[in-house]
Amino acid sequence: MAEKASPSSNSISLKTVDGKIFKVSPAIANQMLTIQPLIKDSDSSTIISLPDVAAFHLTKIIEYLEGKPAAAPSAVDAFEAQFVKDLSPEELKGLLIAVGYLKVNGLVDLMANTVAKLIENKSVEYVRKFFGVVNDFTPAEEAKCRQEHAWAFDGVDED
Amino acid sequence: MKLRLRSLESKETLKLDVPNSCSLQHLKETISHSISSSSSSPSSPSSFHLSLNRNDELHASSPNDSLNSIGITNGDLIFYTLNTNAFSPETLIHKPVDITMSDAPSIPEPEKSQTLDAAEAETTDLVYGSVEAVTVGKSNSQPSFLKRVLIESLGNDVNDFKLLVFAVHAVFLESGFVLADKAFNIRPSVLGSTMSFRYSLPEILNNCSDIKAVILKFPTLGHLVNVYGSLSDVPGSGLPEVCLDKCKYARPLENMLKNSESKDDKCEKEIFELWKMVKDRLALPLLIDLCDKAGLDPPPCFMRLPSELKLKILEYVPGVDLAKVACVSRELQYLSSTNHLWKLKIEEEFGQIGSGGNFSKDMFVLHWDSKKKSEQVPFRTHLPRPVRFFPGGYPTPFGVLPIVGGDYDWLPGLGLSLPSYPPRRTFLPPCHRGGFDN
Repeated sequence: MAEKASPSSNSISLKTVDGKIFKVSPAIANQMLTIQPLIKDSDSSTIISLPDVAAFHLTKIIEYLEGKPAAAPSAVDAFEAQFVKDLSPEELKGLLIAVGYLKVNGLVDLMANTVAKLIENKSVEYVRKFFGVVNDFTPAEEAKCRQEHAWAFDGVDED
Repeated sequence: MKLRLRSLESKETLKLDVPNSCSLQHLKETISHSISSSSSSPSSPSSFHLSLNRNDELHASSPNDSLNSIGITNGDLIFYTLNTNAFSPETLIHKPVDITMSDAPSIPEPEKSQTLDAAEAETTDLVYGSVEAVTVGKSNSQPSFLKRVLIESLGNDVNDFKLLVFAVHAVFLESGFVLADKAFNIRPSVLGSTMSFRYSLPEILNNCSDIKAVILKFPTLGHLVNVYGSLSDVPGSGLPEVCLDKCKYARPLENMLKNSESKDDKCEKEIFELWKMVKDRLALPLLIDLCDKAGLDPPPCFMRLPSELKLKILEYVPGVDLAKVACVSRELQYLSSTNHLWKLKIEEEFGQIGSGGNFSKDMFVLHWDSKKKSEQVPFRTHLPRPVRFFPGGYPTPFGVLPIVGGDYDWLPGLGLSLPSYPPRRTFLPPCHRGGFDN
């Protein structure tokens, strides 16, 4: 889908970390706030390399930017719901990093919201495992922390 | 739970399986019993001294406290001895020690950090023991780490420049860096703007002969302190830098050092900003570069996200889950304790509540509790309007029923998770303000 973007003279070339080159229209590229300043100075021959973005993620981002309906909020919601539905948690995390790096309009919020939903009503252990967070509390600190937040666990047996 | 008990002297290890409700005293009895069955010299349970870190003895504030409540969990290794003086009974919290940087609490040095953690554990005991203690205490672990580093390295020798330098140092230690030269001490007295610090990672120091490190430099320009970071063998490689304004950040840091219980929101905000800036723009990029250079795995996926994005995610997490997130790790505990987030959560859960005022987690918890109560008390849900506690004697619509805001005592059992609730006067949910001011 990236390749089908109009190969007009002013299309922007983006190079991902795995060496693939995507040509996108300035309208699409302009929604990636990180590369926005670079677009002004570039012509069709410049290639902007994106060291933190893999081809898969850029494909997804372009898919989002191209496919997002401009009109009714309900259509946007439906489109966004479908967009994140197809993503596995692994892909979601990778995409979030890419989106965070590129600062893609709208998509940052969508990703953040989706990740947030994944940890809703989940145990502390689940969140640790899901995100690969190292528990750096000492047992005493953790006990204290859990005690302070006992209201949130509300009868849930944590053991 | 299963516990391993190791003798400090003989290094002999016992494996015990005790009930979860087991108390410290009971544990000692169990140890005493299993030792006396194998050796000839029986010893009384009370002569046993236990410690998690070989430094600080375990104490329970009351004899019935479960092992869980003093921080012992399944699988823990506990050291025991009969020698009364083997473990230090108490260590002072935030003991100001004038020491050089090599003794600072760098996270990856297990022994040192354990000592400090034990100091924190004591704070816990104090909170548990005190009747007046508020259950929803503030736990901003990052500032307290920052503060410990500052206190331990600076002592009373404070100036604006040193405060900033050591604040940056603290963020680096907290991000997992250690000083690359173990013999090298950062002495506050010799600090100058030409100083540079070398940091590396414990994995690199232990395994590689060719030590890769990052270098921090602190050139000053008037009231601005620039901090430049670079990889040691790549001079001038895309230098990450931050510019710290002494006027802006030195005062909050100084205030934090002076007042143990600083409740100044503005100061907290400035310190948070400083922490976030140094972490996002210096520590994390350098950490990723260094891991890349040394061929180590990059830091875990989620934690690699800039704080900005992590906060963004947390903004979408409901309040009750935010509280759970706080229990995941120290960094998340810090991130999830910002007032801005809790203000959002309060508005989300309970609607717009007044204007201004001090929005915080504590307030969320108060609202949360009052909401929970009102859901569990059938009468209250039918009320035309919320009942408000009037000190002057509001005519209660229920005659004798003592339902006024915040009575935890009339439904025992509901307060399970709130063992020692603060006196009632603190319970004045501001959500009922406005509209009832006669």
